[in-house]
Formats: sequence, structure tokens, C-alpha cells
Amino acid sequence: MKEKFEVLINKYVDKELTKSEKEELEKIMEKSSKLRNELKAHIYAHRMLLTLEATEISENITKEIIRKIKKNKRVKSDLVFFFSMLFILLLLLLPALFIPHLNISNNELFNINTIRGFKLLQIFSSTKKYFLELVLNRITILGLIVPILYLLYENLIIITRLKKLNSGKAIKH
Amino acid sequence: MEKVSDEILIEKTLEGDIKAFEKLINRYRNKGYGLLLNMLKNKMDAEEVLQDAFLKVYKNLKTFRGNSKFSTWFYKIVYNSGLSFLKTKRRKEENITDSLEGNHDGVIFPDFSILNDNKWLNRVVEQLPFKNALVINLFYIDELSIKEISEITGYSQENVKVLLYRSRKALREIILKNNYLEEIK
Repeated sequence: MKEKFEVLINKYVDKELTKSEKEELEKIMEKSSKLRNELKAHIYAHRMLLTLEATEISENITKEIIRKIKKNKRVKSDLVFFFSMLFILLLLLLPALFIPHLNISNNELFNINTIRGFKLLQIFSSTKKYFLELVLNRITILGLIVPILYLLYENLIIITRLKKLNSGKAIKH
Repeated sequence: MEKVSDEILIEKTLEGDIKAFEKLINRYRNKGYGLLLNMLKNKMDAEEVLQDAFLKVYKNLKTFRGNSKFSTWFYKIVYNSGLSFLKTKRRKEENITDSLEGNHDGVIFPDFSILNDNKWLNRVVEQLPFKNALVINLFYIDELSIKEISEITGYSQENVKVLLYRSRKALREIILKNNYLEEIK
């Protein structure tokens, strides 16, 4: 009976009682004043719980979360920038990685003891030299361009941030 | 001023409007905090996990399809973050296992009713085993249905009801023990 009573009073506060269950509860109530009191206390407990308020957290947590999000974004964009630069650098270095391996003197195709063959060898070795110089020049230029680009990129970010800060301040004023 | 819906704020956030996400944080921070406080029983831990949970929400916002309410999705993330935190730190291990296995033995409340302030009820709830406190929090403060609580926590709807009934019963016993009914007559 006690178990049934527990189920019924919970259904009562949740407004889930069927007509027959309601009659059943009324019958139990009539029999025992102790259970009537328990029902009252149960309703009171439910009402008290309804007045429960959410525990508040400091407003600063919003700022902290936003700061972390912005930081994560910055790190992400920096990583993207770094890897794209690395990719470009590798693309430019790619010819330099392969050309030195073309050892023409050992290549049987050009190791022909004829004037034509000798000229071909000369042309090829000068072409190789030309390419190597070109690549080295490119690397030197790249070595200058990359830091300049990076500095420009950093400045652009700073300018954008300052603009955002100023607009934020303007709104606040 | 008309309240902007969660859906609009989500849409704006996905378009890159960080202010919209700020509004979402302000709307849900106390709810998430209350839930974590009941789970972790420690303010510092609750704050830390809440921050991580919001970062996860931001990161995964594009995966939110709107099949359920945003609040349910949010609570799920907060609840899972709290659970992983507890598991990682191996704190209150018994409580976790207990809740996962659905053992619903009687709740023993410390007698906080002697406290002379109106916060005693909050303190009573805070001192509950986390599964009970969690259900009370989600049902009474966040006004979620039994079905929604079941979705968030992974407990069956029956278990959620049992947890709720036992918590009410325990509070009822405090009321009867301290003759509160006499006072309100």
C-alpha cells in the first residue's frame, strides 16, 4: 500500500492521475490521517522545488570563453598561413631537389665521343647550371619575400583588430 | 524587446557573428553551470568544464541539425563534458558507476534545514548524489520534460522518474521532521 501511495502522490503532483487512480488515492486518504499529512508535505516539497533558482555564474565567464574562441581562431589561421607558406616553399624548392641528381656525365645517352655529343653535353650542363642559378636566386628572393609578406600579414591583423576595438569603443560610448 | 530565438543566434554565429554566440552563452551559462555544479560539487571545476563545453558547442555548432531543441543538444554536451571530467579525474567513482548502473537506493540528505537563509534548498540539492541533483536541476530549474532528461542523461524514463520521486520523498521527510507544515498553516 505504501509503495502504491508513493506512486500515486507523485502522479498527483505531476498531474498524471487517471480517474480511477484519483479515486484510489482519495480512498487511501480517507483511511489515514498520517498519509494525508504526507501528501501535504509532498505537495509542499514539490512547490519548494519549483521555487529553486539557477545558481548564477560570474558574467566574466562569457568574456573568457569569447577570448578563448578568438585565440583558437588566431592559432588556426596562423597554422593555415604557416602550412601554405611551407607548401609554396616546397613547390619552389622542388626543381632544386631534382636537378642536382641529373648527373649528365654518367648518363650513357650523352656519353658519346662525337662533336655533336660533346656539344649536346655542353648545352645540357650549361642548362643545368642556369637552372641551378635560377633556383638559388629564387630561394634568395623567397627568403626576402616571405618575411616581408609575413610582416605585412601581421600588420594587417593588427590594423583589423584596432579597427574592431575602436568600433567597439564607439558603440559603448 | 523581443527575444531572439536560439535558431537565429545559431545561424548568425555560423555566419561568423561572434556577438550572437555571446548572447547564446549569456542565455545558457547559468543553466550549464547549475548542472555542472550538481555533478561536480566544486565551483572551480564546474567553471572550467563549462568553458570547455561552450568551446565544444562553438566548434560543433555546424553539426547541430535542429532535430532536437538546442537546449537539449547543449545539455547533452555539458553533461558529457562533466562526465568525462569526472572519469578523467577519477573523482566520485562510486557515484558515476552507481548512476550508470541505475542503482536508486534511498537518498540521505544532510539536515540543512537548520540554516537560517532562503538558500537552504539549493544547498540541500547541491549535497545530493549527482544523479539526483542532476534530475532535480533539469526538471525544476530548466523545466525539461522526463523524455528530454532521459535523452540528455541516457537514463531510462522510468529511472528519471524514480530519481525524481526519491528526491521529493527525501525533501518531504525533511519537511515533516522539522514541522514545516505547521509553520505554513
